[in-house]
Amino acid sequence: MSECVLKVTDLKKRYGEVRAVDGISFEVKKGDVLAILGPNGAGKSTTVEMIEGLRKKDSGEIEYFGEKPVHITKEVKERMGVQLQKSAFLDNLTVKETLEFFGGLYKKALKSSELIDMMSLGEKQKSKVKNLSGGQLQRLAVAVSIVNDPDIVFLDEPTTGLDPQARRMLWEKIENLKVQGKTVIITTHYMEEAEVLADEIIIFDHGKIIARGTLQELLDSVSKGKYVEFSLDKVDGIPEELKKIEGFKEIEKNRYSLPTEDVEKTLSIIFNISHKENFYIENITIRKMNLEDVFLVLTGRSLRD
Amino acid sequence: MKKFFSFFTGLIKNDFRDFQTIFWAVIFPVVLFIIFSSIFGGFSEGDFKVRVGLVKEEEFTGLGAILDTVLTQVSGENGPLIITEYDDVDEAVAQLRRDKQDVVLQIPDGTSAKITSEIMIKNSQVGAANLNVYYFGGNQFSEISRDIVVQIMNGVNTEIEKRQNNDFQDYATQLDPVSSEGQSFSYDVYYLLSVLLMSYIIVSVFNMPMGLLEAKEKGTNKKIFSTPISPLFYFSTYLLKTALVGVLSTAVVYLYAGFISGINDPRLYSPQFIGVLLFSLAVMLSIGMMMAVLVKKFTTLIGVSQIANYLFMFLGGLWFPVISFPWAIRWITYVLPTTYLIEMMRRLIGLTTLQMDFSGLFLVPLIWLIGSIVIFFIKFKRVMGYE
Amino acid sequence: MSKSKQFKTIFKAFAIESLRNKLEVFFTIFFPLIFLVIFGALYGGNTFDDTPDMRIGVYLTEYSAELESALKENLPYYVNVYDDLDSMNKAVKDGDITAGVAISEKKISILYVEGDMQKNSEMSMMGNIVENVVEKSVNNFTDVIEVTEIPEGIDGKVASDFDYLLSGIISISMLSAGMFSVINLFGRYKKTGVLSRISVTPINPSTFLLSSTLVRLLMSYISVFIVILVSFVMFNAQLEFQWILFIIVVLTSTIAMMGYGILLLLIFKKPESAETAGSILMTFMMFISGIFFPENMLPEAMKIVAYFFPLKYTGLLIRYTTGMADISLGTFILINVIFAVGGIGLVALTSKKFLSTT
Repeated sequence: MSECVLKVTDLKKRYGEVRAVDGISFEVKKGDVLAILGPNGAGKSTTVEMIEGLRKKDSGEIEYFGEKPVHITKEVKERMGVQLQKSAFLDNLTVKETLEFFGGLYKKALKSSELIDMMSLGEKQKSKVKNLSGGQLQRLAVAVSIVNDPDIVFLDEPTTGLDPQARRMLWEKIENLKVQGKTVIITTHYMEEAEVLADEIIIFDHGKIIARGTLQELLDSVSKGKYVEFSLDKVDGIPEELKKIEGFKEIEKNRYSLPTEDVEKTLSIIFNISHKENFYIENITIRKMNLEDVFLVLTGRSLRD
Repeated sequence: MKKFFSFFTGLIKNDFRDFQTIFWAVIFPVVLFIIFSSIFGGFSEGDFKVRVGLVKEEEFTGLGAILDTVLTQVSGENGPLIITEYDDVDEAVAQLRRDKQDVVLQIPDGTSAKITSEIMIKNSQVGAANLNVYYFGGNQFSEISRDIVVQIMNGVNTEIEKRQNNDFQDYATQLDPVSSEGQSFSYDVYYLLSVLLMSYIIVSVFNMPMGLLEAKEKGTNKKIFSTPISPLFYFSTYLLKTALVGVLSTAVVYLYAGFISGINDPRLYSPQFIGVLLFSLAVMLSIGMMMAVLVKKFTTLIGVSQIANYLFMFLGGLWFPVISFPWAIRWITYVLPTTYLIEMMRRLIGLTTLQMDFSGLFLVPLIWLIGSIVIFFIKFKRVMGYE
Repeated sequence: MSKSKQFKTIFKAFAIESLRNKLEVFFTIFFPLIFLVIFGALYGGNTFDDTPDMRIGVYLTEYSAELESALKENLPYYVNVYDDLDSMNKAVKDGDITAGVAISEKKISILYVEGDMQKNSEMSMMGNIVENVVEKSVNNFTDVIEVTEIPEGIDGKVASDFDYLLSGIISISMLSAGMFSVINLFGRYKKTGVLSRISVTPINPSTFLLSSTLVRLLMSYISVFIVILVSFVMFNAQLEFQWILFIIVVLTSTIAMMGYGILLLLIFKKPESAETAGSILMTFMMFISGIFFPENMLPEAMKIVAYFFPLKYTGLLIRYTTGMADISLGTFILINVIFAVGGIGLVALTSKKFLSTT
């Protein structure tokens, strides 16, 4: 069994009446990529910031690399890489200088040129931080987070606010970290990000863990099935017979969805009804369940609410 | 009209919820006025005391006793001096150096005898009694104190002569300031005018161009132009809003002056005076508009605004009279509009510091006003963020 | 480990950051220069320092050669004699002369342009001097009492008004550099998240503090030395610095002012508000700390208030190190120690607060 690099037990933090983090426990094995998923305000960042030593915990234990210091130590910080949600750097330093600056704060540091290549920032290495685009800035933030060649890397909402192309590019970089054998903890509210990157996913809501497991485990925990989605050629009145099918749902105007474990059977039921009631089925899609559905089922709310 | 109102109130709300805007444009002038009036309150009333270290190297005898009488008089309850006696001149001078005394008066041994013989025997050959006044070089107040002590001793000389000479020709000195033309003049009002103009400077060189440039850099302007609002409409509303901040600032200063510091000079409410205020605001705002189109970057603007602020304020003669500047600097002051604007205000409360016809005072500010507006409209498109 | 490596890294990064920040360079270095030039010009500097600093006009209704030469000889001013009243009045109004003195039988009128709060007292003082000279000449008497004016200085060196002013401008420039730099450092970097980002690295808060503030201190030194350089070149300053003491004073005063900045930041939380409060404080201190206006002329309450602001003491220390003030070595050391301990204490306390967990 591989080494456990981080173990969190019954972690709590409250702000006045609000229980921001309410008894969180989990552990991360070496080389794993863990995604912490949840809507805004679920307690993801607070949890991670307590682990990083940026916030004081009210109670609970955090074990780093097999040790349980009362407060985070310098030795732990040496082995840890952090990318903060709001990653401000010194505006007037260049990309290269920024990497050298942060490198200088650790005992061991990777070469800035290496990091620049790794994050494809070559063209921008002499640009000042204030002149970078959002995607470049995030790549720099990730580069800075691994400047000390850490054993564990925390990435807090690394792709928030990026366009799809920049997001995919950053995902590639994060996947590279995994290839290098680093343990990575990502907090995100993009389910797709978790699906693409994570070995294991923890879902947070209201300061608690409501589900955890691999992507498949999470999907299976809700249902093993798929969804059939379709529209009708007439808008007025949905046939009563359709409504009676278990799990039938209008997901948007004239767009309906049915959960199923047997697609063929479900399709034939729908077509039978359409024949009988004299209307046509249009735009049929069959899709797998995703994390969004899992979240919906578990909380009754959408992730983006 | 509806469009105007919603836009105008939006701008106003945005501005008024920003503490900085309100603070600098509205509250700061009052704070400055409070500082000035409390500091210079004592200054102009002249109720300060001079600390004199006195070294008497002898007991006064005979006619020398006149010194005793004089010193007792001037150091009494209402006299300007506070006298501390020292045995030794070195000790007293050491106190002067340590700023424990403002000036040291040394009365050497033999003074009484000299005074007596000088008075009793004309041309006694003994010579005048010589007193020493030590002051601290460079220390303005010590120098003033020295002059006061010298004046007192001159007074003593005259007094002695008067008593002996029945035909003494006495002169009366009369101060005749050309500036206030015999009308009452108070420094509170003087600073009130400066503070009023200063608030227009702040609104114009800071609020006006910074708001415009920030809106351009943030892309707010582009967003606004995506709506059916015309740039000219946008700009006029913006200008009106900024002017309103200026007017508000004037109102606050007036309220403070009227209700709290009790300045109720009717001349401040005359239509001419209000007219000059509006003219000043217009001139300064136009300069702010020009700055917005001439300076490209916000960060540069912060520096430019600061320099403009200090030039307009100090070299425009708001706090010190222009006439006391050396010529090398004075030509700059003659180019600045604030020099004339403050002079116009001062004229209307009966004070003249610059020799020029009242109508002549309009020339330079008008050139600035027109010049700034022309430059603004030539480069208007740039600051508004569309090409 | 490598505390020194961390120190160097932070020092270098913050130095680059500061020097590339045009605004910061402008405010720490050029801003005090603007003050120097404006006030230097106003007070004339030493270049224009001719002993009689006032030029006055005299018009005699009944011309008397005797009186004219008495006035020219005995008045401590440049005296221009006018043949008619109108041309003298015009000269006053044009600013060619500071005042016009019209002497008729038993009456002396002093004509001048008002508009400066010191003018009235200056003029009445001048009136007294003129009256004295005139009465002496007309009545033909000699003084029974003569007064010799003896300027004192430290070690026989007498300072000029301008040198005095310069000591004030130096104080202001380092005070503003110290105060605004910490507001900037802790306020802005806290707000943008730079401090959080640095605090997740294995750096010691004290190392961070020392190296980042050292940058500001050096900026302060640069600013002070540029001010001094310009005042020597442009205004012929005569200050003689005891450099070692002077450097100590710049150090402790800047640190003390950093403490003040921190205090504002603790009170006002938001860096913008702290900056605003700082500007007010600077304005206020400038006027009550005896730099532009003699302290002794202030109302009593203001004199007491001045004791609570460091500018008063910094001005004193600077004058001490330039041979313009005499305080005991003990006092000198005491003020410096209070500045240093107070400043460092406040900054250390806050840096902990700002860099540590919440």
